[in-house]
Amino acid sequence: MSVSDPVLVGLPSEAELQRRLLGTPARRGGRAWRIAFTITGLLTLYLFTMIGYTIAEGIGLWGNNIPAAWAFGIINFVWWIGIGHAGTVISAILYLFEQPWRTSINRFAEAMTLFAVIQAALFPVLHLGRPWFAYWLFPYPSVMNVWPNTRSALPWDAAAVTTYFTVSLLFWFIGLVPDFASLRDHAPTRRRRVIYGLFALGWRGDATAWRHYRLAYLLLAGLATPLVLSVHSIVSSDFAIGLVPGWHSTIFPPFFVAGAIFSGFAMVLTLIIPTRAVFGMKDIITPRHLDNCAKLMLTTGLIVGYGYIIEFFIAWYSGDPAERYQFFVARPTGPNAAVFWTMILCNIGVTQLLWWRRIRRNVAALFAISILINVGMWCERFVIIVQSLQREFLPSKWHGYSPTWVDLSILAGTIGFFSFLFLLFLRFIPFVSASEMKELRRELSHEEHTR
Amino acid sequence: MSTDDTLTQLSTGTELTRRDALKLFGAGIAMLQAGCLQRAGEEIRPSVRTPETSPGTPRLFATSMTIDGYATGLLAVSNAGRPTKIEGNPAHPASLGATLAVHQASVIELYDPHRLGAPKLRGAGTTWDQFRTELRTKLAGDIWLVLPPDGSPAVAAQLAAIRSRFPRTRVVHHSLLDRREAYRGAALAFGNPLEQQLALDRADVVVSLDADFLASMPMSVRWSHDFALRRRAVEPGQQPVRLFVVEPALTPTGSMADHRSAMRASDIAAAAVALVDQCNQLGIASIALPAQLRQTASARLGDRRWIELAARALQRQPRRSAIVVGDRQPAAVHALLYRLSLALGNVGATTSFTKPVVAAPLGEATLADLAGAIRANQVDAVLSIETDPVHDAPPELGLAGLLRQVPLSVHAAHYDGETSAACRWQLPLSHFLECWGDARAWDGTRSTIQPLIRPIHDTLSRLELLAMLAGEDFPDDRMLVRRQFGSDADWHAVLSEGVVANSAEPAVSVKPAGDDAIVRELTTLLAQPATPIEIDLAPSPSIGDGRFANNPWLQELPHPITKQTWGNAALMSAATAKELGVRSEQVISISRGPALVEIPALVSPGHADGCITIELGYGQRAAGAPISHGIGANAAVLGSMIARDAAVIARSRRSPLARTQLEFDRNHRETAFRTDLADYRKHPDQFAEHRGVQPSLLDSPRLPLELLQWAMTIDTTICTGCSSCVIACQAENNIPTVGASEVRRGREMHWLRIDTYYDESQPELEVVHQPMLCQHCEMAPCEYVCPVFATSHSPDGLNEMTYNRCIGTRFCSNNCPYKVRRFNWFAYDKPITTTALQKNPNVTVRERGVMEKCTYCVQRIRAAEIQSRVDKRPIAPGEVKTACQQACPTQAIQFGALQHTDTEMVKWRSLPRAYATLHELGTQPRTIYLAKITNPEEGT
Repeated sequence: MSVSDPVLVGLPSEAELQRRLLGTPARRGGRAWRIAFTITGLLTLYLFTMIGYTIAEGIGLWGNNIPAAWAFGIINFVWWIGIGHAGTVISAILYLFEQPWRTSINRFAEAMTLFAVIQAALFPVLHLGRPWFAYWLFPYPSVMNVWPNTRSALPWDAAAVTTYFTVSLLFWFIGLVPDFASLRDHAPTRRRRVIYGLFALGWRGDATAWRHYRLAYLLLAGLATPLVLSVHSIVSSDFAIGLVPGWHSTIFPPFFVAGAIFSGFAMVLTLIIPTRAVFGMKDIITPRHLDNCAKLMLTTGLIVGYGYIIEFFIAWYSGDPAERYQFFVARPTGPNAAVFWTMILCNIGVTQLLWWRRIRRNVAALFAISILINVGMWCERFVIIVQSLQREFLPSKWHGYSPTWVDLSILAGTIGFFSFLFLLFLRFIPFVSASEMKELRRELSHEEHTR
Repeated sequence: MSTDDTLTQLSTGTELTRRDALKLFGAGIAMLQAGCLQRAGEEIRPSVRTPETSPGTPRLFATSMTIDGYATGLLAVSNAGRPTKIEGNPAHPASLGATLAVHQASVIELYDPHRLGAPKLRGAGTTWDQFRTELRTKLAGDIWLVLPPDGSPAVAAQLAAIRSRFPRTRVVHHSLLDRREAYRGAALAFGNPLEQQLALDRADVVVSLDADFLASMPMSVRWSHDFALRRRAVEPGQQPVRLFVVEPALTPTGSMADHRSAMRASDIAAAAVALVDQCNQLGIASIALPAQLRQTASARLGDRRWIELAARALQRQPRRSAIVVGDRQPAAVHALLYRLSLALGNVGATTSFTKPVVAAPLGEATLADLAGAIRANQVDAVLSIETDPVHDAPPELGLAGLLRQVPLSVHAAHYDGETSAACRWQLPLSHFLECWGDARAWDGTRSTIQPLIRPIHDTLSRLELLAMLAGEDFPDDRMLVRRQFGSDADWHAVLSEGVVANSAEPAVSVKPAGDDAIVRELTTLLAQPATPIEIDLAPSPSIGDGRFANNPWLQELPHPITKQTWGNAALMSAATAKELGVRSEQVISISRGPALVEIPALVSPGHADGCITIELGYGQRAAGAPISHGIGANAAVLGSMIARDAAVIARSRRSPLARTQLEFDRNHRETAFRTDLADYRKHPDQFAEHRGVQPSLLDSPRLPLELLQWAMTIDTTICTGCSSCVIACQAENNIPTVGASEVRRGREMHWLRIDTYYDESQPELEVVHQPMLCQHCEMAPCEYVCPVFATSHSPDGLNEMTYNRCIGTRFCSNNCPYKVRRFNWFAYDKPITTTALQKNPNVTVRERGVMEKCTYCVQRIRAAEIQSRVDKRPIAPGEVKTACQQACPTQAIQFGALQHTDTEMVKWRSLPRAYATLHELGTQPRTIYLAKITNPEEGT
């Protein structure tokens, strides 16, 4: 497969694109959709029950302890926010680099970003001992004149995540406006017309509007691009500014960003492969897309692997007994070492399969690999956070960690909630940008004419 | 809800609602107004050292706490009428101002909602009047009293009165930890039961045979103090004491040893014989031992190195040694070593003998006698007072069933015990902070027990109950005690000081009473062949023989050696575990006759091979005592402190233990340094790289020197790991307990813990105890990571926690390399129980979701600052003491201001063995440690 492979197979007509891409919200949900919707809805309910339970009883319901004062909460936070990175890479960075293949998957990836960031944002609040004071992390005009401590990474974290969410939401919404207008114009019922009309913000599609729209979209893409790098860099400083062996590392920002994009693309594949099959969009979301995602996964996966090597090398090179113990004893053989080996297997081992074109072309294999990489990246956060804390400086306070059923419930609950939001998105919003696809079609047919 | 119901609830410990509490307060005020006082007004005189009385100023009262008849003088702190904290009485010879953990923890029992609050007849609530009626009609004939050993003159007077009223009264002075064998040993050696007094500050060599004299004996606080004076003399020009210990399981004393040999408790007799034999050969003693006995002893001992080293040390220090033998050792071992002490010329120098303070030191009758008498139908009444014979007795005695046959059976106690269920009457006793009494210390010094509060429940003191038996219907313990003292002026002086001056027993002169009896007993002892496995019982370092089993602080106090909380284990060496085919936490069952003990195994460092040590006091089965119920296993049923003929079977079941430390190897981390004296002399600068300011790109903190800069120095050379400081900190700082499952999760709340590291790879087991608390780093890693400034630095050098500002991110704990921060995972401090009355009003009770940690007792610093400002004077050196420092028997913890350069605290910091823990991290801790220096024989 090469760059000359089609990003749109067979040049469907505009009317066909209109029908197929904007038709999804008008279609009734099938039986499978209803079952999935019910299951994820129940999981979402369960998630909020567990959240209520935690807030009512205390964070002690989780498995955290001293020394492992951070565990599932922060692991899930970093994992979800990492997943959220692919959306922005696709929609902003690839846009700026004028990559035509981004068009058919960007809306999808952006939605994934938003929903993942929503899951992620639950945790920094929920993991607090007193979550009702979470707003103290923000520099609001307090009558006491107390501001957050800017030397700590956590207020920066709060700022980075909220900024990221806001910009991602705006970017996604701006991209949706022409499609909302189109949906409004073709709405079968008055109710739908009104609702889609509200979101369409009075879009008429005239040339001036398109000119302004393009500019706004470009500016937002420019704004979102540095965020891809900054958010996970700041998240990584939650650890890198600490002196915990296994955290105290200057490689963390690029290492975390690479890991985030790695897991983000894995999640894109996990979601897009079933979706394109169910909705019959194999000509719009083509093997070329899957291949590109896989290549990006391979690239970022190699960066992640390089990060691991450097971590181990520096631990050895530093000569520090705590660092050496952490990397050469605690991680491979200490408590929860199985998680470490799962991480190595998934992130380093499985990723190498993507060197082969045959595997990149095999949708089933890609799907399996994408899930394993998501598992591996969750394990990586577990290793960094929990395994480091389990074996710190004073051996007297070395202690293991194991999650409770509430921890597992909340993790399962967020996966449910994420899927629930995603199902709503598939059902009510065009998940492939129709306007951009039409544009792409024009460009492609123009290219054909001029050839 | 009626007031009666509410009262019942209060005494049974159910939680009160705010409304009910208010109702009760109202009712209480109304009762006071009406003048319905239960008894005449009593006068409580404060200690003279209290400056003045004003609201909000805590007052100190001198009192005493007795354990098995031996008193320790205390000062109890009263805050607005509530006793809240226990300190040692500096004027008392058994305290000198310090305490053990059990003393510190006693205050919480006063407020324990599970304490017995009213008399019960066959489990149903009744009144004291009904009991009086029953006494009047039924008390006659053969009366048996089961009491703990007692040295109180007032109690003795009451017992005499009972005996004159009922001549056929028998008294069983019962305790699992009775010291009868030691007294019998003195009788064997010198003809009379005598108490050995030690002046350890004058001893250059101390030899302990199975005696944990630094932590679990009645005089341990004083002995620790005296021993530490000589132990810390490791600087040039000084010569520290050398300690030899032989014992089966590692104890705090053993962890201080320079030469330690681990052997079974039954082999210690052999060690004693071999030691005396070696001394004979060196010509420093001449105690005739038959060749046969010497050979048997020698055959029992594997390695003689310890014996040779100990004998050589005794030879080198004539008249400057002290020998202590453990209470569970048979009389002949005591006798033999008393004779050795005499031969070495120690008597009159480091050792003296006095009359014992407890009544009937050799015992009058035993539980077996009682059981026999009941079987023979010769018992009309049994009164078990402050003892739990059913728990303590082996099952073959069948005591529970027998007690039911006795017409009048009474169990008077503080808590529901196993004896309660077998008795007709269950009577509640007052806590010692509610009682009048008198007591005597180990050395004979008399002191008073003075109440700080009227009995909270409908209870009587032990003295009052005995007086009731003697015929007084409405006894008043104050008058009973008052009679024992002279003029009013004397009485008031004693109450203020807590001690009768110069009342210690005079030393008696001793001379040998012939060796035949000793030799005969030793021969019998050693004639018993060694068994494959033996079970040695020992008191629990925290709950003793079970008398403190209902104290949550003590249950959660980590064991000084194994760091186990909430339960006991079968301690054994790795080799024995391998032989038995068990691993730590795997359950084993031990049977001896009808007795069966199921208990998890625990491989313990420095344990002797071929034996298992189980600590007493656990496995309580009384349903009315929820704290102790079902915790651990009761080993007392095995029936002997040294059970040589028990069968051990490994089970497949595992029982996870709640331990606060799981890794005991230093792993080459920059902490808990130790070396021996010779090496320290040779390389005094070996710790220099572990102290001082680290180069840093960051600005050094600017702390104003016009403010006193607080700091702490801890000498690990003299820390025995006794853990008194841990409980003192808990009492002072309102630290909650969390229970076994939370400890298992790693969520214990102690602000101060004692880290213990072992090195078993060396010829001598090397142990370092390191009290670990907030280091108050000048460059604190916790401070910069807190997003909301909840932890910050004070200008006087404290790392402060602002609980109200804390949102609970726990980043500070992750970033604390010392892991001394504690988090309130749940609302551990349930606000509405009577235990809330114990709280220190000067320390915030922390809510759920906030971080907490050691504050260097900031409330004490601020109180001293306020006082100095009022008095218009600077704070004096030594004026501020932290709770841990005050409780420490060896004074290993020193606190003060860096500007007070004349204090030990500051002077210690410039010793060559001073170091900062994890110095390499550049945290610049204010807490500085002194490396542990041991004093083994050179070249060994």
